[in-house]
Amino acid sequence: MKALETVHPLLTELRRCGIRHVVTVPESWSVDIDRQLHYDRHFTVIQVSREEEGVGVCAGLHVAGRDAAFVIQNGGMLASVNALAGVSRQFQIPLLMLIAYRGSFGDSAQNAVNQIAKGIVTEPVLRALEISYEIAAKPEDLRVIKDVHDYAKAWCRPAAVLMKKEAMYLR
Amino acid sequence: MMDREQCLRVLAGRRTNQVVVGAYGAGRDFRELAPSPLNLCEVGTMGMASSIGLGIAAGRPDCQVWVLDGDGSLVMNIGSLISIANNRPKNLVVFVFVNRIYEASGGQPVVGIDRLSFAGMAEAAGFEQVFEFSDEEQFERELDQVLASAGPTFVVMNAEGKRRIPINRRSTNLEEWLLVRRTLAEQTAE
Repeated sequence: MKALETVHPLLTELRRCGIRHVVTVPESWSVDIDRQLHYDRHFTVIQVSREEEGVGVCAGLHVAGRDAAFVIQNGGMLASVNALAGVSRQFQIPLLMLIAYRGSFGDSAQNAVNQIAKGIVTEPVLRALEISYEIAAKPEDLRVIKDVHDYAKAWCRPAAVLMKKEAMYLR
Repeated sequence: MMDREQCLRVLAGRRTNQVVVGAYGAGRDFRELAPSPLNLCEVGTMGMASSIGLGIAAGRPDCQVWVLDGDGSLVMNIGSLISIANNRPKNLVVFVFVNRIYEASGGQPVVGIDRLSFAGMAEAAGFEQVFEFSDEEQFERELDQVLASAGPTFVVMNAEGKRRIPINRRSTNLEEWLLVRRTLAEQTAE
């Protein structure tokens, strides 16, 4: 796997947070991020088959004393609501979720029409779960990851960054 | 069929400093039989024990982690077998206690239980070691070998038995999570 010339700012921010473990389910917008994470030996990538599993894996990493980032699509967050409530909230896990915000304004992918329904309910579901979040529209907005991570750790609760396409793609 | 409580007693007798992540009947009964600050026997959401175990094993490769799962729970998160096998934690042992029913939710049969093979699925997912026991004496005789194997290891326990702990017993589950985390952190510091 070839290294890209520019380090993705998401990786830079994870380093700034002291995070080495990244739990992922691949997503079409996260191709660059996935490639760099797998190439960069600083990070231990744990790929899971479904996002709800990842909520459990991140909780286990927390018990083990490891900070982790959970890189998924908003559809995966929606599929994980049971575990987000029953594990992350119940056991005060400072889960850092970095979520591709499919179906949001500006999602102009050919199949975006299939994403709109998920985009519409993403923020209301996060609010219903009492999960605080920020939105990163551009790569430079990813600097908020450190603030969100600090917040999650300080208050022992999940928190999220919703990432738009421009913040995730390097090309 | 083995007796679950008897199997848990055998496991309790071998337990030294392993982290134990347990689900429902098997987890709660084990906690009563083998109290320890490394018991995490309330997982909050059905099916999550195996994934939480993977996270602990990945974060602390110096500790052996035992997952005590139920058949109904594991079926609810069967993809975790693929994730565990793919991430290859040498220090993770997943026991699935097969009593063929959803014990905590009314005793209905587990979906597909007459056709599925847990051992077959674990082998197909790529587990390094797969064992299956239906005889208590054999289990006791071979357990040391099971635990000494480089994992990830999967163990099918065909066992039934009455729950020791009432299902509606109030538990201090958050405190248990905090205690396991603190205990593991202290082990790091030593």
